[in-house]
Formats: sequence, C-alpha cells, structure tokens
Amino acid sequence: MESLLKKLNEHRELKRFLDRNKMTLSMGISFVLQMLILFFWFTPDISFSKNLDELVQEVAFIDSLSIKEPADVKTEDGDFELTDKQKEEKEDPRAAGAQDVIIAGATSPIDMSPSVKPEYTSEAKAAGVTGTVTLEVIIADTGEVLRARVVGRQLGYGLDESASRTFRNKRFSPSILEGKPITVKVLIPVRFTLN
Amino acid sequence: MKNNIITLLLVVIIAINCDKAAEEVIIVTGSETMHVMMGAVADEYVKREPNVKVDVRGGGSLHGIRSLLENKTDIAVSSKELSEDEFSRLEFNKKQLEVLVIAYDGVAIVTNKANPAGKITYQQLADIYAGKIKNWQLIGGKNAPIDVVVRNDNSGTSAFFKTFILRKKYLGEKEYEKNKNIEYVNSAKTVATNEELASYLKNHPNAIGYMGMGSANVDNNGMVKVLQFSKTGKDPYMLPSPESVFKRQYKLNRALYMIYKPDHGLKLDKFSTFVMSKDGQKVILEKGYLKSAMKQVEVKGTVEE
Repeated sequence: MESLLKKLNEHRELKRFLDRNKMTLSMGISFVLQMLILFFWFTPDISFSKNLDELVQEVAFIDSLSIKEPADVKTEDGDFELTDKQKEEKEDPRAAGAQDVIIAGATSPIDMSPSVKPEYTSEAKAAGVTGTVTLEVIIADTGEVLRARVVGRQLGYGLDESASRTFRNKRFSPSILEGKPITVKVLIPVRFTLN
Repeated sequence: MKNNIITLLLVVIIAINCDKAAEEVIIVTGSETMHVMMGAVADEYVKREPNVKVDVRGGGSLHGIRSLLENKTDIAVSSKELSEDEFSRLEFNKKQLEVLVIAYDGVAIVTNKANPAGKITYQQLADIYAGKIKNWQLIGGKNAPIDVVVRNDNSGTSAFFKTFILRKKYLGEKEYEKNKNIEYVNSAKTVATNEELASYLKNHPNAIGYMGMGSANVDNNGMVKVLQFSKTGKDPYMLPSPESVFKRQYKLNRALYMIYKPDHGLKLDKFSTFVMSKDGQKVILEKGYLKSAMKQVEVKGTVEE
C-alpha cells in the first residue's frame, strides 16, 4: 500500500513537471527532429565534374539565342482590349511639350463653344452638392483638347467626370506664338451652384 | 472618490484633445515674393474654413523646396521653376506631385526713390550685375557708383535673375551656355527678404535691386522706385503690373508655383482648389500679381424636388 502511494506521488510530480515545462519540452523535441532531418535526410550533391560541362553547354546555347521583333505585325487587342482609362493614359506626345501661355508670350486660347457647359448630374443635385473644381486643360496647336483633368479637390457625384469630359470634347482656337500655333496648358476653375 | 477624480481627469483630457483634433493645420513655406500674397490668400481661406489654420512661412523658394523634401512643410511655394534634380528628388512617380502655376510676376528693377535714372534694358541690367557697368551716369543717372544688391541663395528670384539676366538665358540656350559660369559682381550686397531690400534702398541712394512686382507696387508702395524695362531698348519701356504682364508687354516675367503632394481631396487639395478659384485668384490680383487661372466657368443647377 505504501509503495503504491509512493508510486502515485511520483507520477503526480512527473505530471506537474511536464505541465510546467510543456512549451520548453515541445520546442526541444521539435529542434531535435529538425536536426535529424537536416543531417540524415538532406545532403546536397557536391560533385561538379559532369554537371559543370553540361552547364557550360547550356549557357553557350542561351547566349547564342537572339530574339527578333516581328516585322510589320499589327498587334490586335482581341480579348485584351485597352479600357477607356488605359487609352486615356496613352497620351498624345504633344501634351508633354505644352507651354505656359504667358511665359511663352503667346495669345490665350479661346473656347469655341463657351455655351457648352458640364452637366450638373442628377445625383449631385439630389444630394445638394455644390463647389468648385479646377481643371488642368492641355490644348493642342490644332485646338483640340489633349487632356482635361481635375487638380485639387474633387466634388464626387459625377461632377468631376462631367467637367473633364465636357472640356475633353471642346475645341479651342489655339494659342499663337510669333505667328505659329503652339500647344499650351491652362487652368480653368469650374463652379457648380444650385438655385 | 478616487474613481470620480480619475473619470473627471479623463473627461478633461478627452475634451482638450477633441478641440485640438478639430483644428487642421496647413504649413506653407518658401518664396519671399509670394509670402505676403499667400498670407492674404490664407486669411481669406480660413474665413470659409474656420477649423483650418494656415501657417505661411518665408525663407525663400529653395528653403521651401528643401522643406518639402524633408517633410517639414505641406506646401512649398516657389518663384522659380523646379530643376530636373529637384523634381526627381521630390516625386516618386508622376502622379505624386502637383506643381501648379498659381500666379504670374513681372520682376521689378528697383532703386532709391530719388534716383534720377528711369529706364534700363536687359543688356544694361546684365552688365551692372556682372560688374561691367559701374556708374549710374552710363544709364542716364547721376555720376555715382552703382551699389548692387542681390537676394541670398535661398531666393527663387535670385536664381531666376542669375539664370535669365546675368547668365543670359533670356537670349536663348546658346548664350546661356557661353555665360553659365558668370557670377554676381564681388561687391554685391546680400539681403534675405524684400523688406530688407526696401530698407536698404531707402538708406542707400545709389543702390539697385530686384523684387516681385507685388512687393514693389503694393507691399513696399512708395518706398522704392521701379525702373521701366525694355528687352532690347528698341521695344517699349514698360513698368511691371498685372496688366502689362497679361498683355505680354512687360518682358521680364515668370510663373509663381505651388508644389505639394495631393492628399486625395483632403486639406491640401481643398486649399489648392480655393487658391485657383475666382475668390482665391482675386486675392492674388489684389496683392499685385497676375492671376493664372482662366475665367471661371459657372454651372448652375436647380435643386430637385
């Protein structure tokens, strides 16, 4: 009976020890297992003699390849047609050379359709949205608009798109510098107000 | 009792922070030319946005650009164009920097009020600042040495003047390449601000300097004399004003820039939209500079029932 009790006590002590050191024991066992796997299951092959020759031949082959661009092939978008946004981002190269009207000493461009104004969207009217947006407009030497984007705060409710779309479709009489039309960048505030 | 005190303290702390959180701050740093103008624009803006404080600081255009690089300012204002190097250091990609021309300036050539000289050409100005013309008599003034004054290295006006006048970029790239190593005359005095320049001119009858037309005609009105300027001597001599710059009659003109990283319609974008609006541009005109925006387009709608 006494020996049985003694054994039970030892068992309880062991259990308490295991409970207290569960984390440490788990990590220790995990570490030992990983070391066993590393040293006994995975050994890198360090012999080069045969593989090096094959590697040299492979590199020489790749070096000798030349990739030729297809000549006179028109790419078709097919299933991967550019979205309107992507097409807009493919900007006319004249936009990059847009000059400042005053600094260049050129005449100001003139809006050929001043009565054509952005639409006041029904969502904006319903929500009672008013305010001003600033448009950066690039006008080509031909009078067409190459870019019309909102800079600064946007009003939302379709007003920004309405403003930029309207101006994108406008025509201007171009800026003239020393008798020649030039591409210019201007800033135009557009104010939306409700009666 | 202890819990009540703690609760009271918490309520007080939260109340103070709520009040602080309600006020947004916009820091604008840079051009001395644009300092007073931006201060006036800011005053108009905060009338409409009482929860916003706009802190306008000078220091010069280059100081403003450096501050923007170091994230010490929200907006840099500059009276000179960004260089390629500054542009590439400021922007991470093309969509992350807004550089807006918010006004135009005609750089005014200024002297003491009593100076009898009234006119100057581009070539004469370049020669004075290079030390080749040293006496007022050579340009219609009295027999006295010319006391040349320049702005310091942080100044966009100084950078513009050095490039376009002293180093003759005004005459084209070829001329600029030939002259790009020319420096201001050794005897030139340096000042930091337009106020300092105006004060120097007042006390030195033979001095000559340069400043924005708003500084000359509005901020320091009556304190300095503005010389009439002709590019060649054969085209008309003009005084700088918003009208003469608009009509392309005054030839020594430049753009004034506001540079910032857009914040998707938050405080900076809202402020920039105000600067470009009819109300903001009106303040710019009142401060003696030419507005940059074209005429505001009005779109009227009717409230739907």
